[in-house]
Amino acid sequence: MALAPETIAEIERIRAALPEARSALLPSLKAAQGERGWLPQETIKEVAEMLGLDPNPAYMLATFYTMLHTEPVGHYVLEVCRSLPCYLRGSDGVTEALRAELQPDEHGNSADGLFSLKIGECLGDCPHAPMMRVNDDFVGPLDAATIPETLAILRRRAEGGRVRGLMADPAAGPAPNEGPLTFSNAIQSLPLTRVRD
Amino acid sequence: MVQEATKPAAPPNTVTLTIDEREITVPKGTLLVEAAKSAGIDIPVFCYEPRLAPVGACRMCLVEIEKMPRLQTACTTPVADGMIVRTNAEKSRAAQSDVLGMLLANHPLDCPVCDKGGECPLQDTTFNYGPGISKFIEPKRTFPKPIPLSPLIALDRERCIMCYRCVRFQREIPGDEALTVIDRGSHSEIAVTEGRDFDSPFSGNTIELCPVGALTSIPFRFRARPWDLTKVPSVCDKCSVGCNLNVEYRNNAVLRLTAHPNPPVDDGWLCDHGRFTYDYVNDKNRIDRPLIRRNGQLVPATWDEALDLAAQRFRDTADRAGNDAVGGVISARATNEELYLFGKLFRGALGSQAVDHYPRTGSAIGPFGVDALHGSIEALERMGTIVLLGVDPLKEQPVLNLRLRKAAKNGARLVVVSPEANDLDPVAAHALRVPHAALPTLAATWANLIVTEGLHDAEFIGGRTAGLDRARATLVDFTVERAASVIGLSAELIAAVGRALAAQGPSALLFRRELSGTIDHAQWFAALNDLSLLIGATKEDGVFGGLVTQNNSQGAIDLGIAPEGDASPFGGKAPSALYLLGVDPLGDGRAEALDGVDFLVVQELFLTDTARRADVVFPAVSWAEKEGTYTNLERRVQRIRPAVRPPGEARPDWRVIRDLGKRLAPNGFAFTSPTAVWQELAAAVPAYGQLSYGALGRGGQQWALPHIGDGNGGGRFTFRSGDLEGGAGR
Ligand code: SF4
Ligand code: SF4
Ligand code: FES
Ligand code: FES
Repeated sequence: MALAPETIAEIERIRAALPEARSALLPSLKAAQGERGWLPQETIKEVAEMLGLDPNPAYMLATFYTMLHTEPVGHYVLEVCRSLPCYLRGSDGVTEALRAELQPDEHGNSADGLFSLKIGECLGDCPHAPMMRVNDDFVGPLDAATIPETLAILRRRAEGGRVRGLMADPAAGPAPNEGPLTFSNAIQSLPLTRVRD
Repeated sequence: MVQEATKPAAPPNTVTLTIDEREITVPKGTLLVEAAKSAGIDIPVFCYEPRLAPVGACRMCLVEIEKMPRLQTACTTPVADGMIVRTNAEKSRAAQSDVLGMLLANHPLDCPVCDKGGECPLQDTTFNYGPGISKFIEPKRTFPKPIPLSPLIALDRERCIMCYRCVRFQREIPGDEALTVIDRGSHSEIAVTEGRDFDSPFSGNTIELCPVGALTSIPFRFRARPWDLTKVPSVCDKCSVGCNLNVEYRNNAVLRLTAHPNPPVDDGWLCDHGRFTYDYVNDKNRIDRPLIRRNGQLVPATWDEALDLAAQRFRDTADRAGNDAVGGVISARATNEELYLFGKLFRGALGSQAVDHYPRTGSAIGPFGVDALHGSIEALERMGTIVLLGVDPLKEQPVLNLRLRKAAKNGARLVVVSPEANDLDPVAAHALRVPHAALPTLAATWANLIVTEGLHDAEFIGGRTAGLDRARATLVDFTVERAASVIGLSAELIAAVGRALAAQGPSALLFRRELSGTIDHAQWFAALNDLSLLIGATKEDGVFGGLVTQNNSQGAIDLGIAPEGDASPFGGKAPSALYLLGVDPLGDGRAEALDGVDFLVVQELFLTDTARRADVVFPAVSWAEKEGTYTNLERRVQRIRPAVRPPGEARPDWRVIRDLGKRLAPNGFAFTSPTAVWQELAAAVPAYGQLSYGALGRGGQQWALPHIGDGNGGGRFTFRSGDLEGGAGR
């Protein structure tokens, strides 16, 4: 289960751009997750070894951040924010609705393998409360009543492409995030890109 | 105000505060929890551990501080002048009870089947500060348990209270990542990566640090309740550090070893090798009676038969082939008392010089004329510079390695010079890969560089040393360029590190005594001698010495249990009658040691390959069964105490040597106890004579080096490379 050559190249690029191997760990794990959507322990170890680090802290990091998955996940990972602002705007109802629709198993995965339901803490998108993260996109405000519809859109888009236009009531809030705030984008906007030039 | 003025002024750099209505003065920067402890006030803690950096993770230590709106954690709050603290008023008591309630919400309370029960801080703290009744009725969280983290340690996640002591210990003390935390918040768990063991050589310390039964010893699990064990304070015999430990036994079986903190030696830590190596004591296969060879077979015999036979044959051999034809080799792990008696048996009773210890420590006489470490283990913490030449303490003196890491943390610049990767490389200011063969050259080169550039302390060298000019003349050839070509490192690097060594501040030089390959050790020691003077390692505040490896190598050196010159029963001509105590040359691949031996006496715990060849076998006793003293690598003499009875008819080793002595000499072997042997030994060895026997059992005592002992910091040191024909390290 060796890393793909593209992943290796990407990790090397990340490593070269950062002064400390430890700093490269998080973006490298994210890059490695790109291969299959989650990080088997084998992969975590490989990434750590590539960077000359102990696998234990890599494992720690991979389990600490909710954007990294150490168990298989579906095509869409839905992370519903449960922190106070989202809660006050009804996140528990949203979660209930998602549960009812997806019937997730104990790992949070739906039977069709399309969805994984996770509960997370504030993602900094409180103006769109209640919100959830769908893979690398933020989606909100959500409405428990329109969750079936939202999921239907996602199912239709399962072929790929970005998720957009999922608002419960477009008139009720600002437009959904345009350019998706993705982790990998955030990394590329760091000094990393300069190294490429 | 007037009253205030009459109070004696607090000494500078101290802070005066009030805790529970009591006024306390402590040094600035003291943590509240420590200030309270110094006044005998107990603040309950879980995550706080004085040897680790405070984190404030468990909230157990909440106290009320006047003028502060919320309760504060006493383990992270430093004292301030005029602070008024209450640890036992209603608010703090309520918080303590609430925190315990939360910690217990998911705690299984399986104390009756928990190894920690009876010595568990969670039990004790709950009893003292906790709620009598839980507020929770929800089901508790469960996990599969126990999870073996390694062959030595099992993890019970249900019991863990996430104080992080274990993970913090690994990160801060041995400096590894052998244990980690996964997930976050209330889901956090202690873990290791799948397929990997909790593989630190110091892992056992986490068992004792864990304030609950979450980390337990697999070899000890369910073997006994703590209150059923008897604890005997003793000293580890597995290496030259001499960490203090408790031998804990029940029904005459050693069941576990735990730390018995002696901070100047061990800081309260043990390595896993020391902590977990005790099964052999309880082994049913130990030799439990004397054996003698009859018709080619080793068969049981009485003590008298075996002792008579051995004594008779030793005497016959000496009469027939000369006294030196009877030789003896004793383990460097024997006690001082055994070493002394062994020496007396050969030199006194038999008149033989063929007596040695094994493994033999090559002599490394320091500039002060004594073969022992100058300074102390504890002094390493205060060094500005520490140079390690060819030593890797993690492998040979594990707990010393922790002290060196601590020194680095305190700001010491470590210069690590070794042939292979060294555990201390990551904390070193300079880590150089240099083969053994090039170490003498490197030491001489640095000495030359320092003296040429005038980087040494001229006052010390001028006032306290002699022979620099002659040494200079010899050292002058050792240019940085030459060293660079010999060693294969750049001249700039060699020079830069050499200059760094000369930086002022207390400095330490620790070196390997025996280098592999064809090395002229006289030249090696001459170069070390001179370098140590030039960097100030022999000053009162410095540390200098060749690290010994066995728990009593230093004792064997001090008592002179080695033949004159280099002759050795293992090196030169083998004696024809040989007595081996705790030495197994066949097992160590030194079969040639037995060539020409026609009468062999072996004293051993087990029937080793060598014992199988013997004519007489005496059962030996383990360190957990005997009394005596060991001298550690810093000249500290410490007492060991017997915990369990040896198997069968086995007798303490000192008695066996004594009984041979009684048969071979008309008098001089009437000792009735190891203490009696100590008294004679102390009279014979002046440095030991100055020690107080009582102190040896309470943390031990370092015997005094002559140059330190003269009161005014006085002896003179001599440069040595000038004395060598052809110069040092050439
Ligand atoms: S295992 Fe023990 S020491 Fe480690 S965090 Fe849990 S309770 Fe603390
Ligand atoms: S460092 Fe040495 S003395 Fe200390 S516990 Fe380990 S083996 Fe025993
Ligand atoms: S509270 Fe939900 S995004 Fe901040
Ligand atoms: S002991 Fe103070 S917070 Fe844990």
